[in-house]
Amino acid sequence: MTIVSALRILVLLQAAAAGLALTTAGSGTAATGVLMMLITAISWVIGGNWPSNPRRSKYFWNIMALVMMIFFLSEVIVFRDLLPPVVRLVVFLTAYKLFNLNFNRDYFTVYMLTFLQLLAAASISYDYMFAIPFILYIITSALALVLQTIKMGREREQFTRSLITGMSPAVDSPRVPARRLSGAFLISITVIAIAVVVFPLLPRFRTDIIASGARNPLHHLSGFSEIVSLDALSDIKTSGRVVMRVTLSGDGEALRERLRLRGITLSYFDGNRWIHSNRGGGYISRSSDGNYYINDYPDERNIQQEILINPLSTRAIFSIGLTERVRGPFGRIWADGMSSLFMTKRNFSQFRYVTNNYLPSLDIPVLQAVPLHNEERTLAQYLQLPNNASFSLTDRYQVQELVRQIIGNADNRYDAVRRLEQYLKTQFEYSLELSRYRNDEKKLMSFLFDRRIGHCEYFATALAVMARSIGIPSRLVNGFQMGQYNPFGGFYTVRAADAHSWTEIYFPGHGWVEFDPTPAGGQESNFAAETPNFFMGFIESIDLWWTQYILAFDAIDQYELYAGLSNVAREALKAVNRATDALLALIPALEAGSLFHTILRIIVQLIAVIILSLIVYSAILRPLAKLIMGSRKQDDQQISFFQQAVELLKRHGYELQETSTVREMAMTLETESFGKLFSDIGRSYEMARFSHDDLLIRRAYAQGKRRLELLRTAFESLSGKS
Amino acid sequence: MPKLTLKILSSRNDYEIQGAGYKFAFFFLVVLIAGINTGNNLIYLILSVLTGAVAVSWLISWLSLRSLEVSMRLPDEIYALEESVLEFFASKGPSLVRGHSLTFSIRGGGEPDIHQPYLELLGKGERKRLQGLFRFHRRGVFTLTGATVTCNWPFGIISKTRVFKQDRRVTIYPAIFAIEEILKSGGEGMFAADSSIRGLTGGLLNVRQFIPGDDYRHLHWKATAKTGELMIKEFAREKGRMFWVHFNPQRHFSATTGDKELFEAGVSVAASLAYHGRSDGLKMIFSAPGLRLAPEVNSDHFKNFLDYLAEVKPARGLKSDRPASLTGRRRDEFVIVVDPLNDDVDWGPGTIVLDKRYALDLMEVRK
Repeated sequence: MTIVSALRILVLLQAAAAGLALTTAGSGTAATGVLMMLITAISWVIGGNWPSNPRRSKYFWNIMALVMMIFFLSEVIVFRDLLPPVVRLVVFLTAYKLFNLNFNRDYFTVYMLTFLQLLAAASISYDYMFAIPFILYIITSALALVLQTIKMGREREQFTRSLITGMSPAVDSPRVPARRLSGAFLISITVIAIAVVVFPLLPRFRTDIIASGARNPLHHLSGFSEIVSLDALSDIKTSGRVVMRVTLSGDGEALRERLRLRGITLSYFDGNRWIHSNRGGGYISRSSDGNYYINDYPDERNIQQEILINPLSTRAIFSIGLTERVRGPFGRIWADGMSSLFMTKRNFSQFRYVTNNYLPSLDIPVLQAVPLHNEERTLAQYLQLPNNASFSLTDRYQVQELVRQIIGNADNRYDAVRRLEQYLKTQFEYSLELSRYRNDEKKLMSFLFDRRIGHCEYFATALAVMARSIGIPSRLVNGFQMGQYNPFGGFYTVRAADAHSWTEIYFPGHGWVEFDPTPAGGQESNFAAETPNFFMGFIESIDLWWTQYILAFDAIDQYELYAGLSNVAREALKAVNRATDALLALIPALEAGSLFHTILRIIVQLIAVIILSLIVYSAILRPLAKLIMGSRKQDDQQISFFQQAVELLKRHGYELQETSTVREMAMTLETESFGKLFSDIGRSYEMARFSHDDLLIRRAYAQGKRRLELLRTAFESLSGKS
Repeated sequence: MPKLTLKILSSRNDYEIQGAGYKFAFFFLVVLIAGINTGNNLIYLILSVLTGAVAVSWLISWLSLRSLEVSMRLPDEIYALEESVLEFFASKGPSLVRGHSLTFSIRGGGEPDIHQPYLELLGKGERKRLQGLFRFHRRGVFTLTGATVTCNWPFGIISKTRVFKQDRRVTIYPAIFAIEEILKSGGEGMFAADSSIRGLTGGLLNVRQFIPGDDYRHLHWKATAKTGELMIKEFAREKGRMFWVHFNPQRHFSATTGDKELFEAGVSVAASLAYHGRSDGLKMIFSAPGLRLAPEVNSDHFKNFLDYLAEVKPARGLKSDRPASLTGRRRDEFVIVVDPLNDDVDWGPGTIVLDKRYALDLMEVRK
């Protein structure tokens, strides 16, 4: 294969890798990525120059460029999102170059354009599948650059030679040197290995100075919103997109049935929407140990959670239960006083955080001791109900009447709310496929008295409003259910479909208690119900690993890595000191702490370092060097006849020094009957070893082998005589 | 034979960013800014790979140039504006990595143009010979600071240069012009229209038909008029006759300002006469103020004259209109005076004077 053909294949593979990266990056660029791969395939089939007629080609690409520019500007103006149109423009330019690959600069242009595509994909991707095109891109780029270096070097060599000899440079493209290509492959692997070492060491910054195209919340559609609007969730509840992964420790597993990831607590209801109305609370700064301390809770039922979260375009910090302390890359945290925590900025990238939470125990007799009606003036915001077109005072009375019918003779708050919860769970139907509401239709009232079918937000809203209608403080919590447990990785995969809303009721002396009125069908997503098979579990584990160590690797992880390595180094040093002291203790007359003891200690440790270095050299570096130098086998083979001749002589009792030169060896044997033959073999060896003419090398090798056979024959005849 | 062989006495390494490297550096910067702006770890991952590529480039080019021995051989005579073949000898000792993509060059020496030889691969224990072309722009004595070997393996983004240092004086002779006809003709008829050529001696051998490529100045007008066809003169070489080339670097006191270009043209004319004379096996004497190089005194008088011309500088000091430099000449000696800075000096009868006007004409022709 010629270098030009190989370069063409590599550049197409690069383009395909870039297309695949865009495809894995997400819905915004997936179609563009597929298009890129399609263009690559067509270019592969058609060839490098299309349309072949220059005049036709010029017209075709000019028209295409015009169309593309109109499309680009329209897209930017209409959708006000820059990244996807820019990616499409880059793909168009790549397509143009792929169909017009003529000169070295065309190849370099494609390298740059495909690199931009890869960069764009990296900026919006959080799927581990990105690793596949990424590695493919690195390897193909390394090989392509190596071949370009060889090609340009040879062209320069030919040009210089043509100037000297007066002959025009060769027109034919040189062939790919297979041995060097395998070396180039090794080089690309070395690049990846160095990148693996460098990646955790690079200091992490995030300035947000330049606006990012990845900030469009549409890219991060997760099912979670800081404003809960009735009938807005149904499309999302079917999405299997992973939003976070949670690893539990402590008492978490034992309390699995009660685990929900709290996101935001909502207290203001306007008839259609729940809005976060609390503007109280305060900011919490990071303490010197890296933690944010939120509240003190009893030690029992402590759940530690490690959460790897994907971009959700929200400020909420999710956790199970009530947060004691949290550790993560937040800057400052705002605690709203309703058990919700917020970052100062929305999350547009993956990150990891650890929270320690407290899950209050449900002491039912204590809860049942709370009377149905209690004077709770300070909690007025949790008793708010609207009086507007969506939910009027009449509606409130109607709900009140319904609630009274349901709770009947219940005389305490817990029983009353539990009856309301059960009423909704048993008498209503859960569905994501709701028919559209009329514009004049009151959604909540229609749900309670007419349709009796809805999803979690209807149920949670209904319970909260029913409780408020009889003077019980309530609020709505929006977050996620725990999702699917992965036994392979020991973590929970939370998807967009696990988005959930539930209700909290206030119990004086105890606090807020969760009630979930959604029927069983709505409490677990289809994904959560399934147990992942081995393959899916394995894939999920890779995904977790990718998120944990690549996407969410941050300054805290770096600090922990450094601290861990420092500990290892410290411990190793201590072990060395202990071992040295133990060794020196074997010398009875040596006084510990004396100058001689200190000097001896240093000497012993130096010896240990030298021995260790030798072990590392012989066990790792030398074999590695041999591996790399393996490509010299062919060269060595060309002079193998000489080594065989030396061994033959040794077998017959002739002592030859390995350090002697060929001529010195020949001189020691010149008095022997085969002395001249050995001298000839030596000359063949020198020719094969040091000539730079391939023809001479081949000839010398053939001569050397013939002479070696003659030497063998000579020895055989000598043996026969003796 | 003056062979210049530079062995490795000392070496040092330089790194340079190459053409593709600037693009690489630009993208590195873009990725760095994107990473710092977004805090996106995948962009940091790309940055790590780019850093890895730089590190590998640095490491492998360094290993490629390790255990390398380079010597070089320059031609015996090097003339300005003329391409000469430069030979490098490279060998590689024990090393982890073979020598890859090596480009050889020289450092110092008046910064000549050079078509650098390129070696794709140099294995352990191998010795190879390479040829390159170089061309100096001007005459003079320069100091070559050493041979350089540059490796841009594997990605062509960074080139590492190792200098095999040794200071060496190199004499670059003046540029050679194709004016051998002056010697072949003995001057006759060549510059008939040029009043600066005086006292021409004979040597017309033949008159023949014009062949494309012949010098129009050698047209035989009378024969052309008679025959109606272009006829040209052929000259006989004056075998055994002594040629005396005198070079005058001095400008007359009465002359206006000197011209460097004129002087350089004159130096080249003198060098060309020596060069062509030697090629044609002529007996020649060379002289200049304070210098006389004759074959019976100087065994290598051609080279000595070229050495003189390599360094000669213009000077003021010609006091007389008829200098005494050429006194003692014999009648059978064919004297050519190269006097590029003057046009009114009387060099005596029977002397061809290639003076300022000739130098001007020559420059015009060469332009």
